[in-house]
Amino acid sequence: MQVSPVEALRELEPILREIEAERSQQVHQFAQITLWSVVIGGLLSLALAVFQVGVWAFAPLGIALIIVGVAYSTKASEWRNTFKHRVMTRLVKLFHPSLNYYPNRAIAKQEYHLSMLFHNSPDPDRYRGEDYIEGVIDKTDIRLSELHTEYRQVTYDSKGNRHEYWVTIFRGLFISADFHKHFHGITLVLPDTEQSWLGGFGQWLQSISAMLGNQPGELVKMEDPEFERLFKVFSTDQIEARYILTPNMIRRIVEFRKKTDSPIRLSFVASRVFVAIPTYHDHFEPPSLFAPADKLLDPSTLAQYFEELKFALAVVDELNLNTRIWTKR
Amino acid sequence: MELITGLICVGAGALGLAILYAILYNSLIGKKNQVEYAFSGIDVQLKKRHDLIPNLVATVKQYMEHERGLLERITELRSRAMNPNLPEGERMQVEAALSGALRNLMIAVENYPQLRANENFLHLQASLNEIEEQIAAARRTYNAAVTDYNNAIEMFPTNLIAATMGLKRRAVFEAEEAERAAPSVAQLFRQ
Repeated sequence: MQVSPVEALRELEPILREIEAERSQQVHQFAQITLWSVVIGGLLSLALAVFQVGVWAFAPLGIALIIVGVAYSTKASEWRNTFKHRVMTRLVKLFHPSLNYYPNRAIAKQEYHLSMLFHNSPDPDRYRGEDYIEGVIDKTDIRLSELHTEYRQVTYDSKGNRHEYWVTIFRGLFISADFHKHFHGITLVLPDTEQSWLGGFGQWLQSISAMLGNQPGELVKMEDPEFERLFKVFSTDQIEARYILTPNMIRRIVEFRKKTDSPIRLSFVASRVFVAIPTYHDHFEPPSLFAPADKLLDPSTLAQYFEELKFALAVVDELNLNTRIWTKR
Repeated sequence: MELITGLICVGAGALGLAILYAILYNSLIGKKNQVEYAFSGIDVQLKKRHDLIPNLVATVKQYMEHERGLLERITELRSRAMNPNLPEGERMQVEAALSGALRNLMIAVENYPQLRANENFLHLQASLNEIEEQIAAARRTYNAAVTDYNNAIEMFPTNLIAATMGLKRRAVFEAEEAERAAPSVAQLFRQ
């Protein structure tokens, strides 16, 4: 990290004041629209009620409320865009000068597929993401974004009616970083769901599952019991898996898992490490359009964005990716 | 009629047992071969280290006047480890001694700033780190394979078949005394 949140606030203060002025103007406009729509709609409704047209009397008021709704969503998305383009872009640069921020881009679909992290789930029919950050931290290049992938599930009930709904495959932060060692195979570190309650039998089921081709390569058993309880490892190369997952790295992954407090999954493919951290928190979002005026200028607000950035980029330090003492420089 | 049914039952039972025996027998053979395969994985990395050593010694020799003894010891241990007539157990001891000597060399390097600025040396050092990391990984793979194998020959029902096959427990690699002590020594040097 290059600057502290307080320094960042000092740096960003003019911009924050500017967009704060814009925000209050937007809120003012929205209040005007709301007021006039409701007054005009209400009066028209009242007038219609006098002529006794029945429920149609409510139509003008209904239209007025729709106008208010549309106005709100337009203003809110404008505000979000303003904030992301003008504040987040600079904040990310202040956090680390090599980083670039693109509010509406997502991590590439190719990386999602290459990672093999969700290779047992159906291909996503809906692939959406935002808050893409890329850059080089010391020696490690890193790309990440929020990501939400879903597939379409179609069912028919007994009457033959078609029901369609979306099933989430993954929602959270998706990170792709350069790994500090060379390797050729595929190694997956997935949350352990069987062994934790079925013990040795669960492990046996996992190895059978790998043999049947549900996973790349075979099950790799690690020595660390805590790691084994949390994760299951599959790899195309037993030795390479241990070359990547050294006892030290295993400890780091366990610690990272504890810190994130969510069922993270990692994969090691093509000399890169991919990390998927499921979270339901929407990162890097501005305070509400109607938040009090000093909210944006409060140091704790910026500090929170710094925390979110630190969390998203923690993988570099947590997995010690900048230690380059092996043949890969 | 009853006799035939009885015979069929006995036959089916015998066939079932034979199939079970074949499956367990094969799984034991598979585990035994896995151990040997894992062992050869260590061997490959040790050979790579042998290939690296002459280059490393030649590069550091010009700088490290005071470490002649250590360098000679490394060269000697290497040629002993490469002797094809050396028994397996003894060879692993020599390799362990070689690991220790190389680690001492890398600690001694800290006293030669010129050497640490040498691009060629840095490259060799990275390669050595890489190989040591691979050796550690290969050993852990071997230990995992041995644990699997030992479990199989001691657990029911595979232990019954293992006994008839004459399979014996294998020992896992333990970290050498010197290896365990090494990190603390390195730490001391850094302070």
